[in-house]
Amino acid sequence: MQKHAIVFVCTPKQSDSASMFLADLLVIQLREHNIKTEVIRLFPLMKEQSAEQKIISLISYSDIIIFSSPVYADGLPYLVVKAMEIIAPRRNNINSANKKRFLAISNCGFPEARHNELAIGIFREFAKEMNFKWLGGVAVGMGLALVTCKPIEKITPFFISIKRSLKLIADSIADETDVPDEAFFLASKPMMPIWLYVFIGSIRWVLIAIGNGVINMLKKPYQPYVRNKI
Amino acid sequence: MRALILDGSEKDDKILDFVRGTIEKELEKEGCEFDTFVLRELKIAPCTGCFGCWLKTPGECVINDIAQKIAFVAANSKAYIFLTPVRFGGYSSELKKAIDRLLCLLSPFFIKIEGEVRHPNRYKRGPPMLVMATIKNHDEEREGIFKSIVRRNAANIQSPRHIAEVIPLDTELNDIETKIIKGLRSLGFDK
Repeated sequence: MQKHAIVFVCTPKQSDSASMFLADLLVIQLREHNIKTEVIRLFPLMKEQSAEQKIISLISYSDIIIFSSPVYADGLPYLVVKAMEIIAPRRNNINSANKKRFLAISNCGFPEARHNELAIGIFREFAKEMNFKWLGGVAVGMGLALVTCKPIEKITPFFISIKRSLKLIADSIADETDVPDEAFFLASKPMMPIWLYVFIGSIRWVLIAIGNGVINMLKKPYQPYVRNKI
Repeated sequence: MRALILDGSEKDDKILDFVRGTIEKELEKEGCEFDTFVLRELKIAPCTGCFGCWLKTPGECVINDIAQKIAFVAANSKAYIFLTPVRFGGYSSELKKAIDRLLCLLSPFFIKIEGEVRHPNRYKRGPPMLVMATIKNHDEEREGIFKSIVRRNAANIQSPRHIAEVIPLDTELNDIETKIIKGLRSLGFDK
């Protein structure tokens, strides 16, 4: 029987999203294994009136549930937490004839992938509460580098490790085996030296700000005030 | 000394209402000023991850709502006090919605803090933080994640110290009060 996977992309961004990039990359691999895969952007869905019902029904008919999310302030973005708060109390409404499998993909703009650890911990606790089988958490650093990779087919050598990691994960999902540690290791491998990423990242910020007409990026708009003036 | 209180509790959360009331009473007793935001009562738009607060209007979010006032107060406070139920090991969505919008208080550039690359605080060092959280049942794993998040958030703003108290819902009110007073003392509110 054909397996179904649902991938929730948890970025509020409309474009240039590392979460979307990683989701797309995994979807290509899953479809090669003939796994029917649907990609849903969580943020627009959460604005719909019937969001709760839709999420429950999407999860109900899926065998594999995947969340691809950025890290915001060492945790998950607000709307992802909100979605989990809505879903968890309704877990009994989810069709669970077979134990569903859950994979988290987390990315951050910092060079070190370990900034994702707590966001993945939150996903793991959610999976536990939902009684899903935890497949693991993929932690990817240097997220800013991913957003420049368009179109997805033109993958640069920087992303070879991530591509290999997601292939191993898709293979395991298809074979219903545990995801090998190598997959998580490859995803977390820095794509370039940290100093180079920081240098390119800083230059990129400056160029975008200049393009927006910004003169002082370090402006402190709230500093001149004193408390009793508020 | 002035404190920012962000209440990320849900409606009818009697324990966190008690915590907030006790904190406010204690601060008044010490003659300290504070600004309280009960987040569930405020319409705050989610952060859209646009980086406009770094690249278009540095230091200010491009979304004009009450979160701008919260950021203003945060930049001028001497202590942060956050209240939340523990949700899957993290903050509640109510608190997270406000915290995500405080990105404007950080600089877009990078520095190394505690051996990791982070964004430095736009305004010198951040203030000390006290985070009081409730949890349904004692759960070591969730409490561990939660305390680590508070520790990392404190490091992000370069806070000199932080306290994360996780209170199981069956805790006696007297014990909660003791924890609150201890927490406020650690922030320096008894001076």
